[in-house]
Amino acid sequence: MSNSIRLCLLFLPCIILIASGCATTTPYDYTAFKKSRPRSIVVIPPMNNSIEVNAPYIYLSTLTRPLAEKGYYVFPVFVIDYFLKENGLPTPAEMNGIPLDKIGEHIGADAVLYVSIEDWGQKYQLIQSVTKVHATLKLVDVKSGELLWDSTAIAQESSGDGGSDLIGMLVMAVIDQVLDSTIADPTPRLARQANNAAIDSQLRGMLDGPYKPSNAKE
Amino acid sequence: MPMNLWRTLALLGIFLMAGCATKQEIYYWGEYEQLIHDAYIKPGSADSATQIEKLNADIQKAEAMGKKVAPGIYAHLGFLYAVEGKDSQSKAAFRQEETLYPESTVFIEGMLNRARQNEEKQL
Repeated sequence: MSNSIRLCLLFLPCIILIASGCATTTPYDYTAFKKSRPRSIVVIPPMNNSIEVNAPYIYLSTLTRPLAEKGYYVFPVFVIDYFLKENGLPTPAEMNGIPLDKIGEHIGADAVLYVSIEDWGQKYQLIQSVTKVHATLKLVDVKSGELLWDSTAIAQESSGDGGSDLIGMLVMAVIDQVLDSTIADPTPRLARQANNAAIDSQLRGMLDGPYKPSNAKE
Repeated sequence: MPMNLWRTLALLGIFLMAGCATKQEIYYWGEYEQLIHDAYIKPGSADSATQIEKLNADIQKAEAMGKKVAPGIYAHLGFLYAVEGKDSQSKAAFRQEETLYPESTVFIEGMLNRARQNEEKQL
């Protein structure tokens, strides 16, 4: 067998695996989303079911960009959090219980993104450490209270593995390069990956908002 | 030879992944999200004066690139000016957010009204 054929055979499964990574499984029911057509989203500071106390606010700092790039007006997350604290809601647990009509009255958002962190941070195992980011996202219409969209944002990476797994090695190669130039805590970067994958997913991502250029005429 | 092969594969992987991820962004983001992160996680490194300076630099960069300033940045800036006691700059920034994004009107007007009421109480 010639070298080039052998090379092709090596590439083929690699390409298939990576390509399948871009698409997901079942289509999502967008009936309520299409009816509501929200223009603006307020992100309520996340609930925390993980043991990492900083997780909610680290995660909150990664959510504006993917939502705004999806075409929505995203209320300033820090200012909203401050405003809620000033109004007698000191923690995310209390903020997540605000009645929708109050959100409509004082913030004027079309939709609320409720976030719950299920797992967050680094865990050391026998020969490697695993970093995980796992949160559930729920977009709710402020006027009707209907669920417009929900998804899971999840990403994980491990150090110390990769010897046998080709994709793992490819990913590690990229990640190591990125790590060199960034800060030690990998969770914001992982969270961004997870957010982009959930929000931009072809089959069950969020629909484009009004500021997305391709959507402007609709 | 094996080294070359791995290098080729790694490059190919990077290209393919880049192909999935590459997209033109609507906005220039600069430091905004990092500042929010730091304000919560390492407050000492992101006092309001520092944040104001960095956000204003980002706004200039966005304009230089011909991109619209992203949602929330002017409102965040208005909040920081208020913290610093710079009321007229605060109001101007809040108004700018409202002009760029009318979706923010209810929230911004509410804040400006409360600020006005506080001023009147102090007189």
